[in-house]
Amino acid sequence: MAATNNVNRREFLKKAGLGAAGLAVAPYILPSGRLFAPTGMRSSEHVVMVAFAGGVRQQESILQRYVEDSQGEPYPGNILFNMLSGESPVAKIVFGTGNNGNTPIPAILNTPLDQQGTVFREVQALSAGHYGGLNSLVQGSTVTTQGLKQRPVNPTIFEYLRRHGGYGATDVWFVGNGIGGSTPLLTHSAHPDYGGNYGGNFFAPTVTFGSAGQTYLADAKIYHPEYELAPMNRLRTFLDLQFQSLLGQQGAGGLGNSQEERENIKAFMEAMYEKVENGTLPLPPVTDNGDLLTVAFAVEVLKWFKPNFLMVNLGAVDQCHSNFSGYLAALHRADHAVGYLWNEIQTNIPGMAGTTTLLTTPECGRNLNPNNIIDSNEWRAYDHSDANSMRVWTQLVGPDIPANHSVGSEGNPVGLVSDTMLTVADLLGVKPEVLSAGMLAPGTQSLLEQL
Amino acid sequence: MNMQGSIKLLAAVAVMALAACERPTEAHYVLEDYGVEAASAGKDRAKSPEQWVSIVYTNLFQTGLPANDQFDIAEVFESIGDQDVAREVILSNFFNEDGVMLPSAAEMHANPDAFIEETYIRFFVRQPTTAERTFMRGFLADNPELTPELVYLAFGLSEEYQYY
Repeated sequence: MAATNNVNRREFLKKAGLGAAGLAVAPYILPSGRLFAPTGMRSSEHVVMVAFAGGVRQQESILQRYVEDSQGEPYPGNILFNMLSGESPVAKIVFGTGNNGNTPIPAILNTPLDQQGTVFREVQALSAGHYGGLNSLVQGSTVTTQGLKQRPVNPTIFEYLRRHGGYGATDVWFVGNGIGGSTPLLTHSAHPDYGGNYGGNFFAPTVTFGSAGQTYLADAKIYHPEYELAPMNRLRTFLDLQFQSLLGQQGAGGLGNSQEERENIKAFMEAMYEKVENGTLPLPPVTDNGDLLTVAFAVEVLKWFKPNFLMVNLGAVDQCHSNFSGYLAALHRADHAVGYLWNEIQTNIPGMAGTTTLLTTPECGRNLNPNNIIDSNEWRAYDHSDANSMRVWTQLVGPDIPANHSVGSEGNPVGLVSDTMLTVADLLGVKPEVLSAGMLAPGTQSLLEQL
Repeated sequence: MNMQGSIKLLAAVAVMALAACERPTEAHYVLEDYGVEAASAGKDRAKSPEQWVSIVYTNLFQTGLPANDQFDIAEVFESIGDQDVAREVILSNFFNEDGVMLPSAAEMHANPDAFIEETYIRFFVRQPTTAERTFMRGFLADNPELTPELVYLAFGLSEEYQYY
């Protein structure tokens, strides 16, 4: 009983403290050692951003035209059951499970997210490509000199949050759908004022916890923290100081995780390997592609670390380059993934329910006209390079987001892709610092100011 | 050809034959000791994940890492954002495998100077400086519970080991 009272008292004090501060961010000691308080007002304790999901056409997503627009078949309909309100297509169902995908996956959420929050229905992308699009989501800009397999040129949201908001390394996470392209490089920029020491933590779970990870990482030796790790770390510190003084170099690849954070990450990894091996990893009701597995692990990251910011990148939709039916199935599953994510946050992650804002934005759209590739249903495939590829949308849901609200329309675009990043900064209290850094795409505004 | 000419020719042939049969001078090739210390040489190129994995495996097992394993481990390495964490986990997995070439703790503490020199050369490809030698000697003496595995772990995770 006494223990319960203590916990309640601690919880009470924590909440009272936050309430008294009006959720204004308290001063933090930055890695530089400077006492500092961000000037922005934090209005959400946690923010989750979904990069959705590898190039999504407006026509099959927000406009709910299914195969009517793309294939000339008279069957419109909504296939994003968790995210949007609207009737499912009545025929030519190929996106579900079972025989030829003819059984749609039931919605997880009782109320679709568009009724719980706000949708910006017609948003301007900054790039028609994945990498440029993802960069615009993490940097709030695109840089023409940005090369593939290079770190972002401008600071990312992870760095802004850590440098100006005082968030710890394990408070900000990027969960990637793989290690292809430059995905693992998006955690921090090469900017001289920011960089690795302010980067976000990252896993590509299908690799880290996949078969190679199980083979090479799952059997890690556990050292005694006091008798083994402590002297080892003292020796390591000596070696590093010698290196820095003798050779004038500093190590590369760290993210400024404290020793405690590093041990916590390793403990998380060990727990995941155990869950995978024992078959006890919680999964979405249907988990038959990489995106769904990625989101399952993203939920585990949320449960374990309760980060202030997590970005998860989905990408299976990109098969639309050669397989339109597969694209529809992947789009339906990306919706299933988002539904699972939001449901878990609200029902299974104490401390994040009711205090988390979810933002979902496709990094780029897809072409208006098809290419020449025909799939097994004789439907044409779509690449992404034209003006239609620059059309996307953004959905927000969270404690202070107006419910059942819609902004903009097909003929009335409102917002930029880069707004999503600035909105994260706004929600987590570092918007003034991001704006004063002066590295956003022109016209970028917080979506909270455009509601 | 007259008789005198024949004698001269015969003599010349005999001289040439004798010269051809002379034993050659025996060449001796020896290896000279060459200092490998490079403390001030400037290791300014970061090892790629593949290079780090391959080199640390060779240092620990004294044999090369199969190419397929190298590729897979490098991919896993890339899938973890904090490369310090990735290195720690990979190394501690290696130490759980059979075949790591380690001296015993007794050998290390019995002859610390040899162990220190061998470890610096194995991991850093250089001799320890006098200051490093002195520190290491004292550190080993002050930490009798320290094992060669933990020393190797510290060297394998050190910043200097990330560069060449």
